[in-house]
Amino acid sequence: MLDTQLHLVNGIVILLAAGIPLYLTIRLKNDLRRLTAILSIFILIHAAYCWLDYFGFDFLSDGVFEPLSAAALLFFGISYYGIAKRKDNIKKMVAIWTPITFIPLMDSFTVILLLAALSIFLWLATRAKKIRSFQFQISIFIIIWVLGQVAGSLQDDGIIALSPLQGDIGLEIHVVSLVFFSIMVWLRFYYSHRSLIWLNTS
Amino acid sequence: MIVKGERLKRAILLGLADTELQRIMDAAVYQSKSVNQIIQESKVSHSTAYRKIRWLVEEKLLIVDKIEITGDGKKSSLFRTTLKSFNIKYEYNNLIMEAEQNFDTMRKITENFFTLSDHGSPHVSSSI
Repeated sequence: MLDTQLHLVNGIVILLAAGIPLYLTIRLKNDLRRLTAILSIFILIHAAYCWLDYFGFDFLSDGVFEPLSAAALLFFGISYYGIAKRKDNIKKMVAIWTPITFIPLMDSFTVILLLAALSIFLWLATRAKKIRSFQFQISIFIIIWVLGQVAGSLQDDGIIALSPLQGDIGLEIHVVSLVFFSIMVWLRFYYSHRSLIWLNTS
Repeated sequence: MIVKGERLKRAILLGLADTELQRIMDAAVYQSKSVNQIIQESKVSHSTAYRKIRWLVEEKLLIVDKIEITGDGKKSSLFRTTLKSFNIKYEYNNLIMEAEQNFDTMRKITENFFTLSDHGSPHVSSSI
């Protein structure tokens, strides 16, 4: 019962986050439109995954849409890197150590995609050197998501034993990641917008 | 767009009434310029230029558009005007002011959202 409610929360929270990049995609008329469109696609695929999970289509959600959303996030990371490279004149990307502590996770295609996306954003975050940067904050989101995946896998394999009352720990962490992401998207938009609306309001 | 803020309206009127302020704004309308470039083009003395640029930034008629790294590794702010043309109409007790923005607002919002702007901060800098 708790799991169903958590899936519902996931579905609602991720759809709330979709509003901002969709709005920007509609309003923009330049090269950044592609980036916001890819972010929107990632969020919508992830929303489809959450809602399919809620309605009990486990194969479609976990087997198709979850890895697909991770792939979309990776593609977003690559596109983001391309634009940041143009803006920042990044010469080349150095190899990043990717922590692969849990060998069983290598089976998980989603985790591999997420780790690849995480490496891109972490690398860009280290260059930005700012906690308030998009790169740093999306890295935090991916880390929480990966932690949820890891915890879920360990629970499924029986390595982590929790009482039935505690439910699916992976799903619970996933909810945290999506709430974080949604708040991050809305706050970032609010502060970006606020800084440029003084012309009419001050 | 219609300028609604009273403070901004007053600042625009003051900016247009002062020839030095107007020359400084003229220098930074079409391209982002450093303080030194603005001083060269506007032919305003150093101390006056710094004081007036600071005032224009405080009144949000100038913003830090980019931050450049100079040859010797120092950071240099490039300024640009926020507005590029005005249409002012005065009737009894009523000042109607129309202004054209000098940059793509949605682009700036998106750059700030993704931390892609050169200075990385969505806020207008108040220091030069």
